[in-house]
Amino acid sequence: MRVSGYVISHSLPDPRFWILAHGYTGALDKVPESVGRLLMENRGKDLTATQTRELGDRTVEHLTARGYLTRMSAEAERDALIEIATTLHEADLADSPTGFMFIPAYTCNLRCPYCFQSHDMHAGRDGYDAILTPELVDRAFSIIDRLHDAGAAARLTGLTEAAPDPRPSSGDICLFGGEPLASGTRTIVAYIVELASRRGKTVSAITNGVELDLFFDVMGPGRLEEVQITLDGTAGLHDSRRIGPGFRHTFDRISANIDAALALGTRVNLRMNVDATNAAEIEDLGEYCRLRGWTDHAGFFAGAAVVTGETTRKNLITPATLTWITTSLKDRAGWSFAGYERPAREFVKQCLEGEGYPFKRIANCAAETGLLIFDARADVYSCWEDVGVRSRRIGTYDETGLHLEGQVMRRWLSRFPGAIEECSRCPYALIHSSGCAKHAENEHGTMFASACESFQQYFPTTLALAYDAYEATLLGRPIDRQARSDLWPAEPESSMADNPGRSLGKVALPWPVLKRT
Amino acid sequence: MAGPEENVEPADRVQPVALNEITNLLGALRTPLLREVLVQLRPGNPVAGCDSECICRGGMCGCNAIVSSYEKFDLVSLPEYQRLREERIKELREALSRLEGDG
Repeated sequence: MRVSGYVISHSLPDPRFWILAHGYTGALDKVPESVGRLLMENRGKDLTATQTRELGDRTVEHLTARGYLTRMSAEAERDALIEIATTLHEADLADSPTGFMFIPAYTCNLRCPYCFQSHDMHAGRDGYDAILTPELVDRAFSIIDRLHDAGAAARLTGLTEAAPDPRPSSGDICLFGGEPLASGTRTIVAYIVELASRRGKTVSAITNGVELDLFFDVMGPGRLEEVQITLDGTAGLHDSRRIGPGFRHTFDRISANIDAALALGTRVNLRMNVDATNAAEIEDLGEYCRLRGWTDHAGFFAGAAVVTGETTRKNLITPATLTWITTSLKDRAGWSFAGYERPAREFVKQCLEGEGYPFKRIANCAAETGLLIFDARADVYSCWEDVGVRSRRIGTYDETGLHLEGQVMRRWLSRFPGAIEECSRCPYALIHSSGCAKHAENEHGTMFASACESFQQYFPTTLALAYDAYEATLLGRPIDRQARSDLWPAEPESSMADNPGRSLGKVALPWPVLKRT
Repeated sequence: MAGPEENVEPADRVQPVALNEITNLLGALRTPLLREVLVQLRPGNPVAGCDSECICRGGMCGCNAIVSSYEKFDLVSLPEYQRLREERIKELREALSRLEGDG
């Protein structure tokens, strides 16, 4: 009898028990500490006769029925994972509606030092001064009208033969840049909102929010319905990072614009880009959100994400560190920016309350099921981290329609964990879905590689925390904050940041900040 | 060959608790049933009377996966979700209480 190579387990705050999950059967179990520890220490290995005997017949029978113990070889398990992943991938391609985005302009009114886009682009140099025109928007919408059905992108690239879904597709059109909501884009954004609204589609925008007040007349339910806005800390720190020509102090005006957006019925997704220099501000900014009344608003959501360092390799922290900070704050203060704990929370919820197989989708992002990003230079991209880099475009568009270049879009739609060697052997394959394709390419030179980004470090802990919180609510017992905090490792396997000696302010990390190797 | 004493379960052994039911996935591998097992009730497939016209825009019934990504209850309508949740939570509470008693 072998321990499955897809076992996931972690101790619970109550040290007598471990949480146990299986990476492809979707089983979730609470087991005695000795069982959880034995399985994790022997993941992928054969159990000895003594170990099997010590588990006892009933336990062995239970663990076998759930997939934790198996008679399959490692290769047979991998084949099973690939078959499951392929089936989910094919279903994703067949029933995912195409995603659409517009880049109204590449120029930006800010010059944030960590931005992954170049400041030459933001200044409008080298041909980046183009603004989307009504003619280009009309052409893009004629493509949207033809390709918005579920599975349309896969049919276009010959990757599915599934029939079009007859149900009407509503969906959202997202604006990105540069800065999509600035004085120079007012007219064209209003035009996009109008055309989208006529088709029953809503519009969202990823914006810095500095000039959001110019767009109040197109905001609200059914129109510009959601904005993602960034605040990188409280006023002093934010104003040292989110600056630009003509905008030296942006915190107060962005805050006022968030107030107005919520009042207009536009949802606000507040984003905090976190590195070692502002991690200590997460708590203060959270308190500011609470005092401002935003956290009581149904249309308000706040999430923190790590600065990924496409242009800067300095002061970075990993998702594991950020997740430790956000989950600890939530336990202490009752509310915090969401970090990367959502996959664990949703997995627990799906297992305990959901119907059917808990792994519903396998695409990591919309680019892997079909995302068309129309820019102001008549180019089309699949990934917003590629926009503006012509060598990365997937095609062009004009009055005759969409012209794809070679097999580029097909490559995007062909990425899934079953197509990546290391992912097909990973217990987290169906949960993490191989991570971001663009980050994988930056790291490995190909998108057909994994972008783990410390997921293995933090997922088991967040799984234990998510289950513990669920169980505490279920049984009406208080959570043990100290025991929850103790679940985090004393020192993770790999480095956390590349800037030794940097303090994270008053945030006491549970492990040292180490130098990137 | 195992002796008879090796099949005896220690009386004080704490048994694992299954927190969810799993589908017959392994039995369906390499059969046409696999797709049916895996992809039923996916986001985007309105179920349990959802007409996609709800004010939650998918927040409760899963009819709009883009909007519902934050805090969707699940893939069923709210009344059905509440009924399922009550039933499942009752079973779970009982199982956990047994485990607590054993541990």
